[in-house]
Amino acid sequence: MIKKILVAYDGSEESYSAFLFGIDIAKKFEAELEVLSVVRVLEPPEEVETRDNLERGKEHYKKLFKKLNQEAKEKNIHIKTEIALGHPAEQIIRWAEKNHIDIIFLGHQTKNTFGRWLLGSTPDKVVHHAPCTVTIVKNNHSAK
Amino acid sequence: MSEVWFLVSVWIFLALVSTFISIWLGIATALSEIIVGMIAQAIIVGFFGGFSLGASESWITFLAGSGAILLTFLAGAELDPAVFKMKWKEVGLIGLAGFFAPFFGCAAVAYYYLQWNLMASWLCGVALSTTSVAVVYAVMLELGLNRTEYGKVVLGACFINDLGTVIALGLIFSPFTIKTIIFVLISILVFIALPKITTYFFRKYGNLPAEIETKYILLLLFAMGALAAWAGSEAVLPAYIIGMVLAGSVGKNQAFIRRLRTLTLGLLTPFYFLRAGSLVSISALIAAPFIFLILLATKMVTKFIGVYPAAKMAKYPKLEAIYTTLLMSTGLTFGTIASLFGLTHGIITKEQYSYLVAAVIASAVVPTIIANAFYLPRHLLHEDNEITSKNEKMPELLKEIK
Repeated sequence: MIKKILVAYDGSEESYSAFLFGIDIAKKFEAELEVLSVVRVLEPPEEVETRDNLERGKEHYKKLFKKLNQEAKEKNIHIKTEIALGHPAEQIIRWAEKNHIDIIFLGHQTKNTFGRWLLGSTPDKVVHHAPCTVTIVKNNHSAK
Repeated sequence: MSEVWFLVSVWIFLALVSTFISIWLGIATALSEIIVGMIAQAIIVGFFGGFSLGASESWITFLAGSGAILLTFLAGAELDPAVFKMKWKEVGLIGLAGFFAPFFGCAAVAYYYLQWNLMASWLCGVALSTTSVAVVYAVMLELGLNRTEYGKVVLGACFINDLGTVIALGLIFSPFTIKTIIFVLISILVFIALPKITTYFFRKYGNLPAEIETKYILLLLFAMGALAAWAGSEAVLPAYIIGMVLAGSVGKNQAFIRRLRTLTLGLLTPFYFLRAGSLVSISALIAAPFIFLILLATKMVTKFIGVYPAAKMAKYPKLEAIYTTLLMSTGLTFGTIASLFGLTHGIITKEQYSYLVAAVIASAVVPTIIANAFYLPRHLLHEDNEITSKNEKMPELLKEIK
């Protein structure tokens, strides 16, 4: 039985599809839906830039969450939105562990091929290290 | 004049390239600017012999210097005054140990083992005594440790550590004359009076147009910088302390701080870090790579010698003590500022500068990786009981986020 769903949302179309998919599943199972966005900290964190980055990231996601809340409201689903700081994969896994999440939905990653090759992709890491089931959602999903 | 516009276009282009690299790879912009500066200079020298990036042009020096002053001010303004009000003995003990041990240790290794001259060795000590408040801040935020008493003490200790570095840089290399006494006395008076005067100024004129607050702060920073330079000291010394004393007033004015950050990070610091990178000699690093490794190892070992016993004296368990030690072994901004100061004042050679910058860059990365991989105090991660003050800026950010 799925009781708690986590959607990792980074503002991309892919992660929006994951969110819509999450809404469908949440409705079906009457599960709680949490949306987590991660403000990435540039490495190594630098004086002034780090705080600037975090504040701007926080504002950016707060704006995006308004749209998600609206979407969820139209579908009669209550969602919980959260912002974490750090490396996306690490924070998603930590959040899932801490909040006893049953399933994580992620959008598939297509952009930034060089960075992904160098650092590894977020979905790869989450799939391999998450404490629960992970589903990668293709970006052609739309809520019905 | 066309040469100036051409050159400034080249520098801004490099800054833009650095920013793209920073975004693609998820690395700090300062780091990518230093590396791009190094590579761009090497390419220009290699392919267009006789040309350079123009790092010694007076207007580039001015923009870069202004970047260092404003960056240091903003770093000081990020201080959370609440961390000093509680546990000040622990903060002072760990912060001073974190400064003095690498300062003397790295200077000794440079002098006795690497055979650098006395002043170059002292500069090596200063450049490698630094820590990075930002690294500690980010790690604490990621793990939620900044809300714990432990996190606050470590952050406070980092400010004390960097204050030691900035004071040492400002006073050791200047000749002690009557000018030094005048500089110190005027500075003390200004630092005491500034919070009240500034609060009054911002209250009375803060809402007027034409960026009057920015001009007020720039006047303060440049005037005190001029006084410091007149006394043979370094302009970042008063800038950092002004930032710290105004952290409780100007530092809380988020809209103003953001405008100042835009000016600093958008225009000035790219010139600073690109210039710092362009002055690194890659050939020197290739010729003697072990020197920078020795400097990096010395910094980490001496930080351990200083911070670990201090953390144990503050009754930290072994894991927290090692973690604190490693986090305080980081440092990029102040290490680069000290190294560049040494080069531009003829205290160190270009080769020595290159080894120091390489060690400083490595020290920003290596200790954090080791700390998080092997010594993370996981039992503290869920400690959620110590948000103590409504005035605390750092926990506020996390409180909102959580």
